[in-house]
Amino acid sequence: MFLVVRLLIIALVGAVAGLGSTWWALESGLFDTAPRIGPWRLQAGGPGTSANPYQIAEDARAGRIGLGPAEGIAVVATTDSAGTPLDPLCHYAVAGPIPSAELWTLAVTDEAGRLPSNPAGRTGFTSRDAVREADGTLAVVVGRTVRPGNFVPTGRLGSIVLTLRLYGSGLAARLPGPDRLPAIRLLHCGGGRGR
Amino acid sequence: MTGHLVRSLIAGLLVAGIVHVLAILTIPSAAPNDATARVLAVARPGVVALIPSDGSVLADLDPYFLHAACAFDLTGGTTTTLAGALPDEVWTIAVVSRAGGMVASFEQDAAPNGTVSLAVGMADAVERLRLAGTLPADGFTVEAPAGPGFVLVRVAAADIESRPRIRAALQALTCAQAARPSGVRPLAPLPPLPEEEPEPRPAFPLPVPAPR
Repeated sequence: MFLVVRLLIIALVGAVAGLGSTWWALESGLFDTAPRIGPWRLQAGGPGTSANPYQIAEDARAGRIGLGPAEGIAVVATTDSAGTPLDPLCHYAVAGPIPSAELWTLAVTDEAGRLPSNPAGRTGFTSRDAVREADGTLAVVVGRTVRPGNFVPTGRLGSIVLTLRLYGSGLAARLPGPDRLPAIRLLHCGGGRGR
Repeated sequence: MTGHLVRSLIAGLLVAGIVHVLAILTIPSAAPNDATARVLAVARPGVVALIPSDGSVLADLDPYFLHAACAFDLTGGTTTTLAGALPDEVWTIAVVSRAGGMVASFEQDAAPNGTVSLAVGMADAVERLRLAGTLPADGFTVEAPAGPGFVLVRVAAADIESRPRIRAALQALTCAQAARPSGVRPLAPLPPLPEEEPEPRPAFPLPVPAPR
């Protein structure tokens, strides 16, 4: 009788703790070893291109197809450069240099990948329509109320995720450093004009 | 009694560790909703299907691109060929296999004239295609493991006005599935080897060197 109870305890603890820890490890991103470049996190380049089994499992679960080595790289930011999570009630400036690429796109979404809805249909910028500063750097403002210049209205998004995709075959082999990607700076929180 | 319980809990945690590792390693092949399953839900093998960028099929697609998928299933040695002309925009192609992950990727410089011919198959099927000489000279071949997968074509469509033209170009791509190639052209016979003069064999017994 005792043996049966002990086997049941072992099986129960093994199943619950084993599967629970699997779910928790994937949900929390505890074993996320993707390279960080400033506030940007390098998105895995397609299924099978990462050596991290947790990343492979998470990509399979999410049905995610990153950019392959010949396609380019994608970097994702959910925090500003100070490490504070991006708040949909705040305005942020995405400003700084950007590596040369065949094409780059900056998309604003929420955590579920939904694009902001606005009459202008503005969901981000690309290298073709963003107005550069005089020194060639990029300056985009993201927030709820309109700002002059390159501005992406976030509307009613409940969270903010910035995804910068750089297309070109050599980028995956030579990752840009943090000084070659734009920084994300908090401008103001709330509905005021801010700084 | 308490000692038995503690030992059972420790054994349970050890089993949990094994379950954890097995689950993590099994998820990529057993996930019912991985990228290949999502594409196969909207595209039949051998047919080009447009994939919306809103995340309803595949997660994290670029909203400034239009996407098309050519699904394949290499079981049984079939080959699938994606062919057609792509617009003069930035475009990339990724070949994704459920068993092998992203097995190949290309960018527009790989086809300077904008015409793509990409054959995907298992290693022996691709080799048979090469031997049969049916591939275009500037085409690509990709070897992938057996099982389902898809070719994902991404074309930049940042301008709203350009989208109908790009969408039409993607729909005009062909995604043809072919049975295991069998009509392999026989190899040409090798030319006869030139007959060589046999080297004269040394006479026996060998001459004994004279003593010093």
